[in-house]
Amino acid sequence: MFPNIPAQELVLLVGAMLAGGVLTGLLAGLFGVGGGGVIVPVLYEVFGFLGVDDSVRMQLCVGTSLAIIIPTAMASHRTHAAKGRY
Amino acid sequence: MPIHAAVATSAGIGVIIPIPGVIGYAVAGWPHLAELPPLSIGYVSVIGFLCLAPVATLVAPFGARLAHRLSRRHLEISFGLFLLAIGMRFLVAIVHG
Repeated sequence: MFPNIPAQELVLLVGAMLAGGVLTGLLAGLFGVGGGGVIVPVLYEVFGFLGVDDSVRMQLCVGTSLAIIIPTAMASHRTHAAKGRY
Repeated sequence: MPIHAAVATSAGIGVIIPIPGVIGYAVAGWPHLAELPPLSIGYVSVIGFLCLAPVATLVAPFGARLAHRLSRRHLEISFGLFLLAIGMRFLVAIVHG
């Protein structure tokens, strides 16, 4: 999981991910949809740009999207719970 | 169930449902680490997770503000185009895959 990553590759990886994050946030805020509907397509392009092998690309998008949904759903639930709704 | 309670409960359930999913994908991808980008646990990109979740959360209000500046019609058209674009993108990927 933590091989020797050349600094350049890491910078590119992080940069692409941050750009993806900005795009995801904008789309989610703009259209009021979040979750897989927005995260998976954005990740698909980001991983494509990073040259991830096609045989694993889609699974990687879905797996990572699932991970991202946990904190975002938590934040959403907390907002609702704070307003006294269950 | 009144709608607000339904939405709130749905958000709560939405926290729990992905958890076995993430574990499953992490385990399933373990044999494929060679093809996956660095800092991945199976099919879960840790770096993707660490970069996307906080950034998207920070940026979302800007997207929401943009939505309010658009007319209803423009927003509807944009959303429709967005969905179409994604559909086409994957259709092309399927045909060429």
